[in-house]
Amino acid sequence: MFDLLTLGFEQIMSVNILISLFIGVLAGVIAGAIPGFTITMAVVLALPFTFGMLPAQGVATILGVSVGGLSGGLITAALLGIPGTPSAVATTFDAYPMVKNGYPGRALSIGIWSSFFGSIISMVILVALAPQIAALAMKLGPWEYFSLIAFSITIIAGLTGESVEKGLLAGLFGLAIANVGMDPMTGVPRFTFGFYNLQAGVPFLTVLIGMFAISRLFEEIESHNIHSNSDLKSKSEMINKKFDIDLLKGLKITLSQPINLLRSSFIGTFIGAVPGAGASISNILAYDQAKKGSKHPEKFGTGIADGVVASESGNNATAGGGMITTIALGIPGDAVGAVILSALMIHGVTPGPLLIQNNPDIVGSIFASIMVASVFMLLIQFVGLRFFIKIVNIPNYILVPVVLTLCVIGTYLLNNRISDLYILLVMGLFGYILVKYKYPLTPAILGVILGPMAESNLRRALIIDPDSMLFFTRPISLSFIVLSVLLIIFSVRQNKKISRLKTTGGGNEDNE
Amino acid sequence: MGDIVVSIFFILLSVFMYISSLGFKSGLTTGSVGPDGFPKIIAGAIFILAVINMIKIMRKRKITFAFSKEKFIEKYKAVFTILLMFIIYVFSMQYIGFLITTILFMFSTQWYLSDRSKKNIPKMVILTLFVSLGAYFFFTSYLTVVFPPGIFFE
Repeated sequence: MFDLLTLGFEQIMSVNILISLFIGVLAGVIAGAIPGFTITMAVVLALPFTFGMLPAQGVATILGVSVGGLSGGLITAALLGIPGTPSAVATTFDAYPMVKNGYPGRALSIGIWSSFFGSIISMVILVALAPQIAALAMKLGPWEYFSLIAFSITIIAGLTGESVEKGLLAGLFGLAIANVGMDPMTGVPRFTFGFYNLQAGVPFLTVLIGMFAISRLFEEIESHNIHSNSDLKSKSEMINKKFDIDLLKGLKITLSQPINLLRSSFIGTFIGAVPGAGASISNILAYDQAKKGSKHPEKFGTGIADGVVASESGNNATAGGGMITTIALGIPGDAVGAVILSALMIHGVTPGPLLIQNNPDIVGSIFASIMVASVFMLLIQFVGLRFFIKIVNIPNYILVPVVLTLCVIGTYLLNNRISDLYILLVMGLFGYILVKYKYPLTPAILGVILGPMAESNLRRALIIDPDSMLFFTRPISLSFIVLSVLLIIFSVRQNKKISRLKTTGGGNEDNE
Repeated sequence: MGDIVVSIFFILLSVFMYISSLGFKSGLTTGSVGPDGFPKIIAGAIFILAVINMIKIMRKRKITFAFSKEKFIEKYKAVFTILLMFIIYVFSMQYIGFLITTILFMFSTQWYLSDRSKKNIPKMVILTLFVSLGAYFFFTSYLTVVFPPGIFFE
């Protein structure tokens, strides 16, 4: 089982790949630390830079950005009490009080070590599980695959939105976008409105950049007068304050809580593996469970190490968890997985259960790069922490134009077409309006990426046997459908719980 | 109010999708679901969910039709301005070329978004030139991308 990992290390142990992986982690940490700049945005913007790379190198770089980003949110969460990304919301609950109590170095050190162990534990689970799941997935017929996709979109919809209907509508909207272009089976053009360029469909990357980056920028623009850094300024003494980072003490404290660390990492990995539920949920759930399992739950929120360990290992563990379904099934667990899938497709690698068989080198390098990225993250965080905290003060009037330009360049690079830029703008507007009315974006993105797969499997199933009841009578297919229904019920209840936790913690409703 | 508009958009989208799908025919025998089948299923599902969603919104709160033009303009002025700048940017790119339009776009958006009192022009110029020239030369040399050259460089 670990031969894939060894193969991966052989792949990525070249100076080129290590350098780009390092740059990726660095960029991720910085992006994670800047409030308003989400990890997804960073990952999406990093993708164009990997076009010229080999698949293993490109995937390694993107994973680096993701691992770095997940830990970058810690810096702002701990020192300023504002989450740099939505995935660090629960980190503010205990890390910030700990900093206020006079232990900034300890809070950060514990956070960084917990992030590191969270990634590593999730990587081990990924290495152990992905091949098994892929082997199981090989046995699925088109009926099962269709139900599985429907199931995935349902969970995403249930877990990310304000309400399940809105989540499902967003997912269906994504599927509708995926219908534009030639029909995957017979080549009949659909919804092209007479535009030749739409025959090949709406480019996935354009939808991704538009919905996740452009829409986010519009939100920033809308609020740019209100947020003119006044809340940051009052905390700027924290930015300039000198403190020591207790490297070994943090490690000792983190390792003195093995149960908490393992539990939070498992929660993070599992949440990451569930399509659509990302780090913004896992850090809160891990924190909540740590509080419930603790001998002294009343101390949570006052600045104890347990809370920091739980939230930071919980959110970083999603990095590995999100890769499980991406590798084994070709169904991305979150937006980062979606970007990695599209990176693979751009490089001509077909994702799906056959990936491990056909491209073991790429799968191995995914495993290995999570591990190497975690080590780089550790180095970068401990050495560069003092600098990153200063970057937080980048004003919006610089951030927005630069990122907007990078979005345009990235979109243009994909097909060298100016017409894609108009699609980018339209998708950005859709995303902006959807978020404004609390529709989650992740289901829409997964709808776009899974649409062609869902349609092909549905139609293949019906060509093999026109009896549509087979979707309900084949046991595995039926269980996916039953699970979808159960998960809708579960997620309605869970949504209420999370929103309650977020409001008590001064949360951030941003979905990622 | 806006929430209802979005629901209505989804309903209209589903009706449009359904009607357009009626025209998708393939000469090949494709089983019981042809090129029109999947869009029709999605259209149906969108329709049902959008109606449920709309009913839920209308039940939940009283709908206010109060619409203040001034407030709307004040809130979205920056968004619409940037949007317009973006459209002009993309439209003029094919005529004037990538480099010039990008430099102008980046500089003008920074100018527009910064506070009146804190306009640091040298800083903005340096940043603009650094990012746009940097990206241009990076991608043209490393990926051999051809950006729209525009009439001045043809």
